[in-house]
Amino acid sequence: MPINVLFFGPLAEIGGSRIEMPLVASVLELEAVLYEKFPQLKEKKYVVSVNKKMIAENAQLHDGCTVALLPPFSGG
Amino acid sequence: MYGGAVAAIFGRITMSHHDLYARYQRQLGLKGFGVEAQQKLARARVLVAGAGGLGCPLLQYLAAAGVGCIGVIDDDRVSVSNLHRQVLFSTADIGEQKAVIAGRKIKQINPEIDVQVYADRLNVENVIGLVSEYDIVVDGTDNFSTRYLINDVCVWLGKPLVYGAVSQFEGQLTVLNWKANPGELRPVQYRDLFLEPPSGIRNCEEEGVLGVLPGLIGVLMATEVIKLITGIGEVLNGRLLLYNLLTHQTYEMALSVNEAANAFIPKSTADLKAYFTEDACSGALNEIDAATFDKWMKSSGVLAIDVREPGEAPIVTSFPHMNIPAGCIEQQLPLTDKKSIVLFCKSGQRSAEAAKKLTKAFAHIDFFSLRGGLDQYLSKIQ
Repeated sequence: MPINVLFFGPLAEIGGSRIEMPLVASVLELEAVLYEKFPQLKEKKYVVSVNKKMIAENAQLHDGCTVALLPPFSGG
Repeated sequence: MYGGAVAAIFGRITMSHHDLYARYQRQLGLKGFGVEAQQKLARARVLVAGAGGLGCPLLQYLAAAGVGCIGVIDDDRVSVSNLHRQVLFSTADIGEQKAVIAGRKIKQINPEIDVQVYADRLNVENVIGLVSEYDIVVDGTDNFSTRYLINDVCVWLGKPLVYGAVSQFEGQLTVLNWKANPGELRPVQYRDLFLEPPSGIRNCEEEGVLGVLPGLIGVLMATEVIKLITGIGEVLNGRLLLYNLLTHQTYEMALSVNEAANAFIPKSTADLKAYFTEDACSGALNEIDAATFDKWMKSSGVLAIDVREPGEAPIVTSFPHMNIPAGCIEQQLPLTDKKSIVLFCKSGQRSAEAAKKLTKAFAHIDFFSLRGGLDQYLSKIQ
């Protein structure tokens, strides 16, 4: 099963709000593939969550998991 | 049925039993709410930072619910472009101070509560004194500098922080710095997500916002304040709720402590002042106004750089300049013999952040930012 990748806020303008990607072993590997596909993403700041839990460092990925990329929001 | 008990516990709020019951009957009667919850609301002191798109609905609902003391701080004045989302203000209020008008309006909603108005910018000088006086802080501001200042001081003083923000059609909110999640040593704070204020983020003025969005998020934030005070329901403690207006989809994310963030909290008042004083929003930055910018553009000693993305409107042709987007300006800054470089963007926010970044990286050049951006320049000069 592929991995679901969700892009929030202005990141959705780069990657679309939701895409499927082939399974890779870790978040770092996924980021490398995403940067190739969406070079603009590389310059962006975001936090990553895997299955709705924020991760501070690299994490392993599994079949069917959902990775979300959340950029900072400041509007009020 | 509640009269005697309620009036007796309302402290500085002096209402007749009858009036009190009349005003709050619809929530007093709720299961799990009742007199005790109303009492807690009456004793609570809540500071709302920012009387803008998020602040307006927050203030309205907190006042209506009977929060006993509400502080509102904002240094901005009402402008016509605020009115589509900042629903406490009317056309007649244009030019007036937001905090003053907001304070007056919520006092009209509920004359029994205590409203403290601060028509100032929240800054390193006033933030500690102010936050100390309240039980809960609500962040409805519109820029990262103030948001980080509020975060750091709440961490420092141990105050729960209800955080919310919007971007285009999406909003988010969470409760920070309240209780540690199971297995963690401290509560989550904003620096756990992003250690330092990001640069190059567009604000509402630049990226737009549908008026109802801050309304929705502000009301959800007010809900969290009421939950924190009364103990009803489940607080969004360290959980970030994301809301998409276009699809009505929500997504929840469990935040976690990032140990690296501990080092970023200022350790003393001096630290705090040093960290935030060099910041764009404290006014210490080299900013120039539209008239000065115009003069400079007519001489040749200064290099002007547009830090917007290529093609962003309005296109300017009336003075010579380069275009290097804020995101890559550190890498792409050209070799120049100019001693001064002035950066500009649409509203002045991205250029201010870029100027701050470049000042650190290239000490031999003076960087300036056009205050108010092209919006102000074009409206004043042309």
